[in-house]
Amino acid sequence: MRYYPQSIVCLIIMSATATPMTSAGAFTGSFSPVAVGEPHQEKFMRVDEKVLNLPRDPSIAPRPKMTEELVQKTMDADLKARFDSAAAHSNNMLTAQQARDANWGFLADHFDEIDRNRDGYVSFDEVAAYMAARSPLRKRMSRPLSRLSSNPQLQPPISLARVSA
Amino acid sequence: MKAKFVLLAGLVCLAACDSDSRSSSDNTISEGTFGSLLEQVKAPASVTEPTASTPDNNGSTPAVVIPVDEEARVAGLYDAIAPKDNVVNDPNKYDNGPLELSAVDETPGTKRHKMTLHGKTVWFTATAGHLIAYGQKDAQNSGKKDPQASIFYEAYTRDDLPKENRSVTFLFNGGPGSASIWLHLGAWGPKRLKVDSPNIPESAQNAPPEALPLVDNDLTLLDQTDLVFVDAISTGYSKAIKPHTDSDFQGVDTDAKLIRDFITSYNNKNNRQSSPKYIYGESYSCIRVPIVAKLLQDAGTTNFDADKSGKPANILSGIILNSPILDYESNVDSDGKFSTNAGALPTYAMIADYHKHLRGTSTLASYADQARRFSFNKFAPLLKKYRNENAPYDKWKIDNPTAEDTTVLNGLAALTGVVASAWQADLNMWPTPFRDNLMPDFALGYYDGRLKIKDHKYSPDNYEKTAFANEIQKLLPEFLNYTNETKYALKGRSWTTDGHASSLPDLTQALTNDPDMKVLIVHGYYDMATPFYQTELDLSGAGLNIPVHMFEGGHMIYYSEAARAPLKKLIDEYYVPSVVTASN
Repeated sequence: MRYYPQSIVCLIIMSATATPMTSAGAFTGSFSPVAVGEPHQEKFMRVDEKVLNLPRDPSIAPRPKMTEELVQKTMDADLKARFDSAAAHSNNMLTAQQARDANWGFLADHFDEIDRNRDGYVSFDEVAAYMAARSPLRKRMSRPLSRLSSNPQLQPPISLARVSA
Repeated sequence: MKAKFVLLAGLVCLAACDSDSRSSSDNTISEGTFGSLLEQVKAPASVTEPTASTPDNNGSTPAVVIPVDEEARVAGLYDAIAPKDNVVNDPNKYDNGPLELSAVDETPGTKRHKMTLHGKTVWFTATAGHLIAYGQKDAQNSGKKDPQASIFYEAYTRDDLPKENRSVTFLFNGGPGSASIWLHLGAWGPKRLKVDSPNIPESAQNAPPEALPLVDNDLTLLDQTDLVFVDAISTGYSKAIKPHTDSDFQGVDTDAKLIRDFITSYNNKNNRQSSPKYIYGESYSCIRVPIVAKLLQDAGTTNFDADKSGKPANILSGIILNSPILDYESNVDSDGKFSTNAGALPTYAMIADYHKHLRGTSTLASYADQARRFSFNKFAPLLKKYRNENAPYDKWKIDNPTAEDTTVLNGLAALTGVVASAWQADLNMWPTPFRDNLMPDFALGYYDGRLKIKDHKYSPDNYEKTAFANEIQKLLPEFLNYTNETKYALKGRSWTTDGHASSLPDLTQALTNDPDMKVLIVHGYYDMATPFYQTELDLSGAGLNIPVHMFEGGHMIYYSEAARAPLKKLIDEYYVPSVVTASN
């Protein structure tokens, strides 16, 4: 028996701009650590002496509710960051070997499927389109991915419109 | 003991047994489930010439008929393949700073065992020791790998089964900062401590027991998969390697990367590249596991050593989320921006029903469903109406309830066994005040609200803790041949969410990377730490439709005898497609 995530009645209205959000980069983790009062310390510690209702960490910006839209946005930002770091030395295009050198085996292993124009290089557009087609989320945002990037300077102009599967 | 014969040539047995060898195998079974292989199966361990053979009339491959039984065949196969017993006295100290690389010895303690599963004797190796989690290779630095940490693990493997078909599952408890001892000794290993929730004997009403019964685990997952219990950094005997320190890996993302690297090391060291792989996480590890899944898929085979067997590599087949937290911002008690008790209300109802028999003739499932509907249709709107952003979460009250409000408050009282006035004074009632309101004279469990201790003598959440701590110190040397003078650390330092407070995007990414990845989610009805309805809300809110399976238990579902068999049955169904050899 396999449990596939399937489409579900979506309670939110998908809109590119309806919901103001803080920078997607804020939710992708890997931040420089900040001195905090150990807010969630031991909350889910299996070995607890006493379960405390610790105060919310004031140093981290509140995050919008985790909707399907925000899930997608976070994934897009992660993907962009991953691509940018792998392509940092290669003019924003990746060969299969460059992907492998960046320990991005997924990209290398699916390279031929992703490289739609068969030029031996994949662009971020091609990777994003490939991922979008595989997403278990029924609804995806149809706005240009460039707006989602955590690092807008690094991106090529993008005309990709993501479509629902 | 009657001599048994096995043909090891090609490690294939071609013959069936006779009545003599059957009775001999019955004796083997009755000799107790755990014994030393070496004294039991000396005869099958050596290659024996066939005593009889039947010439093949076709003149092709000769069919050989020898007196042999299936158990001897398995024992012989295991003996030929499995590592020999090895005692490790690890001299390192783990209660201090990071280790020198030169001090790390990856040779594990190993001990051979057998046990009876489904009426058959099976052999397995218990292994405890360390593996170095290397950082991913750095192409900019001629492919060098950085030894980051020495990670402690306890593994149970059936080495006679073909690796390309035999699953291996990596298991993690939560915290963050908890050792994986609870799953190891309480759930799925070959031996388990019988906690028997929700029962607490009279003798343990004043203080937790020093010991719990250690029993052979007839519901071990060893019939489905090899098991690797992994202790996160600074727990168990896991330590950073200089110049790294433990704190380098005490964060949502740094921890997940380290776990990825450990799993890669395990696969390489044990030649498990081709094995189907699963990750089983509990509680906080349901933040950890989807991230690790995503990271493993991302890396693919880039850090795999070459597999001489030539079998195709397997990255990851599936994940199991046991009592997950998926979002710290929504979970009650985590003080997140969106956390209200609406997700916990059905759990309150189930706990109240356990103590006060409120559900009448309803089944557990239908009562839970009734509570879900009430929470969604009646309670959540009331919370929204009286939500007070300017007041602490426990100061949301209703000064002048309307008639409609009063109806909902009375509904809350009927559902949760807590009087309407208490709800009116603390509408966003969190687990601690709920417990105090429900059963003022008792300390109730947080992880399993059915557990109760009269007069608050101690928290039932600590009921099994001392017994587990005592048992692991005995079991490691006796059962896994690993000894260390440092005390096994049940608990390391915890960490904050660092802004990565939800694994819902990671779970979705993992399912994007591999739409065939199997996902199993299980919850207990009586768990207030990670309430089941909150998981359902989190999943549907994120656009994921993954079933949540319910069991009659708490956070550690497997502590409840009534829940173990149904949970194991579900997990069997989950593994079945990849387990062809398990019943052999």
